[in-house]
Formats: sequence, structure tokens, C-alpha cells
Amino acid sequence: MTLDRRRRPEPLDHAELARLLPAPGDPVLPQDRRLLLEDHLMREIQHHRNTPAAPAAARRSRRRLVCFAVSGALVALAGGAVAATTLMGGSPAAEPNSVRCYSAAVLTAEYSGTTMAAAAEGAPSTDIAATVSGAVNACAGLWEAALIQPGRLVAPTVEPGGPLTIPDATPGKGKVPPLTACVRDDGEAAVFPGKDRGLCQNLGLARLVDRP
Amino acid sequence: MHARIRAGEPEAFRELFRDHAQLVHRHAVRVTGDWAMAQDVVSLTFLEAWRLRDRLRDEGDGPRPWLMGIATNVLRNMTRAARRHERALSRVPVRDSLPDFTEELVGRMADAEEIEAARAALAQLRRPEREVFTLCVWSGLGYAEAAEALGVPVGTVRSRLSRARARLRKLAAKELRKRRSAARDGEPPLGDGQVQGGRTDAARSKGWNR
Repeated sequence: MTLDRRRRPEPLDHAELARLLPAPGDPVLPQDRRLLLEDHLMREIQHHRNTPAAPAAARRSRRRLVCFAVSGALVALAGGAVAATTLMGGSPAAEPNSVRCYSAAVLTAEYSGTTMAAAAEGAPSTDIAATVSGAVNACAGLWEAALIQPGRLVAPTVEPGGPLTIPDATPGKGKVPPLTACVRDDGEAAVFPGKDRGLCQNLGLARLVDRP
Repeated sequence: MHARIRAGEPEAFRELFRDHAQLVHRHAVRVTGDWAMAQDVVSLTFLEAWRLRDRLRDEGDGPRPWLMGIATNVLRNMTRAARRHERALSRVPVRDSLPDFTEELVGRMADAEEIEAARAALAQLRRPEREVFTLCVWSGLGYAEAAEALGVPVGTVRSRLSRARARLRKLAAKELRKRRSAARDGEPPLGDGQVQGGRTDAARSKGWNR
């Protein structure tokens, strides 16, 4: 018996070990996603080979969706929130008065930038990122308006002279989830859906705290 | 292949990705239980592979152990890896949080239940044992490969697996005693009916129904 064990190169039977736990599922990476990630890796490699230290402007995400035109109307939609809003996927420079409102609790999710730059007339000049509640409320307005929905942004449509409408803004879609405010490495506030205590840390970010 | 990877040949990395992305993804979902995070782990693992390509040594049959070692390190410290590649990660194409097709969604939900049950059981082990278990038993690495991936001697892999087995058996036996005791007292057994296909040892397999 002992000798038999010695002869086996890998004495522990994997099948037996596997039976000691429930089956671990078979989570497959969908083909379309695999191709996107492969394409991303190849672009990053090319990027490193060509420009080891590219300027920040060139590194901006190609996901940028600039909708400056609607920013004024969004103020009204957000229920009179002090922050005016632009829907964009790219990051502005480290602005003290801007917040990224993410649609999911991952750094690669779509997000909307909220800025005070186009604030309604008479709005206070304090920046929205100065307090946790300021940042969270700014993003809550976008969720409430259904401009941010789980995992995606929804661009509003504006008819000339008509009201601003939001596609798929059916009742319930404008539900505001629990929100957690973090700080990105570049100092910009980032608000994610979710309320886990370790949410910011899991994303490699610090939690946002009120400015003293 | 090793020399091409070390030389930073883009096509070698494309091959590396095509051959191993599924393996890394499956491993990451099983370890984290989080599909979105697992895709970040896939990206981070290959970005780290690119960064650390000089360290690939001409050992073994292929780059699999080296890559799974990188994946293990990424999983150990997602924070550090995400910070290091934050800009690259922000350029990953946007995805929907939910799968596009009903079939995929249903499959994912079924997987999620199994994975959660497995992760809950695995959480009873210490990290070194857990890592060896997931690499060897779930991802199919041989002892030498797991040893290379984790940077430990083969004997250590063997002893960690042995400890994992002893611990899991003990826990299963404890669960079984609890069920028998409950049955004697006339209480219905908990979570009955989720026995996996192909199992012959009903007592052990039922031990982890949750």
C-alpha cells in the first residue's frame, strides 16, 4: 500500500479532492467579450511600444460621449440639484468641482461626469466634491432622472422646442441605488452604486471624506 | 514561444491571450464569484504579463504556470494591480453589467449558485491551501506547474493539498453528523436534493449542499 503510493507521481487524486466541494461551475468568457479584451490588450501593447509616456490628452478614453448641449436641461431633471451635468465618458483634468458617477461598481463601467461649471444661475460656488453628501447627491440626481441605469448611461433626446425625454425611462428605472463615494488616484471624486464597506478598497481607491 | 514573449513580440501575446484567456477567466470567476471583476482580472493578468515578460524562464512545457502565477498575484492584490494599470483599465471597452442574451444570463445564474456554494466551502481553508486547491483541482495544473506558479517547492504543493483534503473531509464528516442527528430528531435535512452528477459518495457530496 505504501509502496503503491510512492510510485504514483501525484498521490492525491484530483477527482476525489474535487468531490469534497460542490462543482465550481463553468464560467465561460463570452466570445464577443474575449475578442474585445484581446483587442484591448493588443492596443495597450502597441501603445507601450510606440509611446512609453504618452501625454495625458492622448490617453483619454475613446468612450467619450460628450453631450454638452443637454447640460442645462439636466439641471431641471435632477430636481433642481445645484450641479449642472454633462454626460461624458472621459475624464476632465483634476477639477475640484467634478464627480464621476459610475453606472456599476467597476472602474471599466460607463460613467457620467458631473460638474459645477454650468451650474444654474445663483448656485453656490462651493464645489460638489467637497463633501460626501454633495458628491452622492449629484450622482443620485442622475440616477433619479434615469440618465444612469445599472451598467449604462442613457443619453437624453431633445426635440427642437420640445421637452427633453429619456429613452426607456419607465417607472422604476429611475430608482436611486445605495451610492458610495470614493476618490480616484488623480484626486477626482467617483461615486459607485453599492454600499459594501470595502467597495472603494476593492477598486483600488480611497474613500471620499469631507474636506476639513 | 518563450523567447518571443520575452522579446515583447505582439503576436506572441495575442497567442498567449487566445490560448489562456478562458483559463484565467474561469479561475478568476471561481475565486472571486464576480463576473465583472473576473474580466478585470483577465485584463490585469495579461497587462502584468506584458510588464513582467523579462521574467519568463525557459522551464516547463509552456507559459501556463507563469501566467497563472501572475493571475494568482493579481487576485491576491487586485488593489495594487488595478492601481498600476489604472489608465489601461480605464480604456477597456465599455460593457453592459448584465449579459446580452437570456441563455447566457440563465447559464450565469446557474453557475453563480454553484460557484457561491463552492466558494463558501473553500473559505474554510487557509489561503495557501485554497490557492493550491483552485490551481490544481479546478484549473487542472500539475503539481510542478502549481509549484512554479506559486514559487514554492513541489513538496509544499503536495502537503498543502493534503492538508486541504484532510480539512475538507473533517468538515464534511461534521456536516454529516449534524444531518444524521437532525434526522434522528425528526427534523428534515437541510438543503437536500442538490447532489452533483457523477458523485458516488452521497454522504460527502451532501455535506456541502447549501
